[in-house]
Amino acid sequence: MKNKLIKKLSIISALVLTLSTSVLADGTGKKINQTIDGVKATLMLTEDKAKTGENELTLKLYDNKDKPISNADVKVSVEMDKSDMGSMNMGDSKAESIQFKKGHEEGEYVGTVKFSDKGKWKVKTNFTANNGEKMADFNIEVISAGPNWFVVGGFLIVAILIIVTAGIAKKKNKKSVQA
Amino acid sequence: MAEKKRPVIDEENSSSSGDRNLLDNKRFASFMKSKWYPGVFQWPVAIVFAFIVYELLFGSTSAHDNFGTAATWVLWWPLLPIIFFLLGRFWCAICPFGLLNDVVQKFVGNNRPVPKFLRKYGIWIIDAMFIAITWSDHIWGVVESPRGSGTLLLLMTIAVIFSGAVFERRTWCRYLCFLGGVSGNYTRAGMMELRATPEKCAKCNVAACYKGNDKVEGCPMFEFPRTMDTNAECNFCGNCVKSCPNNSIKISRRLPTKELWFIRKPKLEESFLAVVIMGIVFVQNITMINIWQPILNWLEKATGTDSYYVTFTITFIIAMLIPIVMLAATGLIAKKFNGDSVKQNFSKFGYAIIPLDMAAHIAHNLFHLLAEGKSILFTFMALFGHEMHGSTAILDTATIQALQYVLIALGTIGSIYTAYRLAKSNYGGKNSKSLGTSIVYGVLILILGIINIILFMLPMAMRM
Repeated sequence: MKNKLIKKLSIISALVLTLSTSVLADGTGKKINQTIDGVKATLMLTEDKAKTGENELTLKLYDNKDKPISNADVKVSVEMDKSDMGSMNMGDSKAESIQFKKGHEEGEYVGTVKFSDKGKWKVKTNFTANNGEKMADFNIEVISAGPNWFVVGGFLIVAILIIVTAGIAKKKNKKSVQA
Repeated sequence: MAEKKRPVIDEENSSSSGDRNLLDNKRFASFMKSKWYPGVFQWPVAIVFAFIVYELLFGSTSAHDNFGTAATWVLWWPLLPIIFFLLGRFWCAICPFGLLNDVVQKFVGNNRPVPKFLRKYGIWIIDAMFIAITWSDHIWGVVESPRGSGTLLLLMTIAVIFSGAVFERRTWCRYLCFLGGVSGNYTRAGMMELRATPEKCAKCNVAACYKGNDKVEGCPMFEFPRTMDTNAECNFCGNCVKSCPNNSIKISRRLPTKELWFIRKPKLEESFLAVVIMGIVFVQNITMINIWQPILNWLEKATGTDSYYVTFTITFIIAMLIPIVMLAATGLIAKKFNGDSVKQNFSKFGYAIIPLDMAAHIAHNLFHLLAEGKSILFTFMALFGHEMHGSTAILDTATIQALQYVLIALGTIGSIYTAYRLAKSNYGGKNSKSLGTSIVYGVLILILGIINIILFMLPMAMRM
């Protein structure tokens, strides 16, 4: 009895610990700063490195007095570093320009971009502030995203549920036929 | 005494082949009847499939580095229509989904009868699924994304498990598989057929081919060979060959497209699928050629939105509608010659497009197979840490294009001839009804062939 209880508790503790670490983990990602004509542009990733697929990017803009620039028109496009393009990949390395929307804080602009491949990418930002149009390029490293555990786990759960339910139904049918 | 009149069998009006029965070959017959068939193909294919799914879900997220993507979209997908043409739905006999269905059914299957709505609307559901999957591929990039391809296969696996656990036989393959409609249509134009011998079946009161016996299951595809006049649903699993006590089953080669010449009960949904496939080939080609970006830019301006959902959906609907409207309009013109309604003409002559469909489908995928074929080797070798670089092309673009033109020409000829034979079998030989109808549909098919040639003349983007 005691052993079972200890086992259960250990499993629960392990789960709680695992979940709590992920919840308490530092949520701030990588920041890259650039200054163009007195305007300070900071590109923020949600994690340390961008992953292949869709990534949310945040661009923060401050003027030369360190005041956030609001009402800027921000457009972002991503392009893979040509030296990193494989000989086979001919398409999709260049994405269209994406309009970033205002974030929660002043001077903050948010949008989602898609990296089709791992390697070195250039995030090209183009913003119009009060004193004209400016451009800033950020070099970032994109790593391969891991498996989608939500999909894999969901598949396994649904498959097991169907098989178990069908197995029970089959047994019931057999019993009712025998009776 | 007057000589008894022998019944005249009009071989001209029969879809059945008079070619040699391959089961007369003892080796072939014993292989088909052995317990190893089709398992000897099924299990290795299932193992390869499992590895491909693993690679798609856990391997590289870059399509050009992923063996699963190369094996699925550069090898299997282009080979599939060729297999349907040469061997009928043999692929369906060895398909891992079919095997999974059988295994699930064996252990937990409840063998419930197929719901009426599936039997009634099955092909429409298949049509809708085929269109939806093609649309979603373009919107979410299923082919370009290994994870997307893996997720699609997992979703199909779930559906197959459900079908095997709940319903009898291969309900999924017959009524739901989105490839089932395409494979059925292509198989009609294909070179292999399975039929029963009417004289032998007339004396049979066992119907083991359909019901099965204590050793072999009945036809998994719900077919009764005795009444079969199409190979659209037969997957050459061999169950009827094994179970028939009268050796009534014949497997023979036939002239390509021959089955299409004598469609007794044309179905609107089957004709609709044939036309939709032509639209899908248009979409696939248009989105892979260089003029796609200017078209998108123009659509963005015209609609006032840069949402790809909107612009692609508009293109998709237009590309689907072009052949549908063309076939309907041709039916309207043909009505003047044959007196049939537009709907009747649509149902009857949609089948004539199938040879061109298949040719265009093979031609489109031939580019991927021959221009990117080496990527299969490259990605496979990369699994063992051996990096290979260089061109992925097996043949140069000019040669591939020449092959594509030849295929489209053959498909066009096949379709025109099928339209002629269909008109002949529906309205008789040399008369204005038949001739007028043949010419009208011949012109339509020629136009479709020319559109295809033009699309294949333009440079195309790669899949990997």
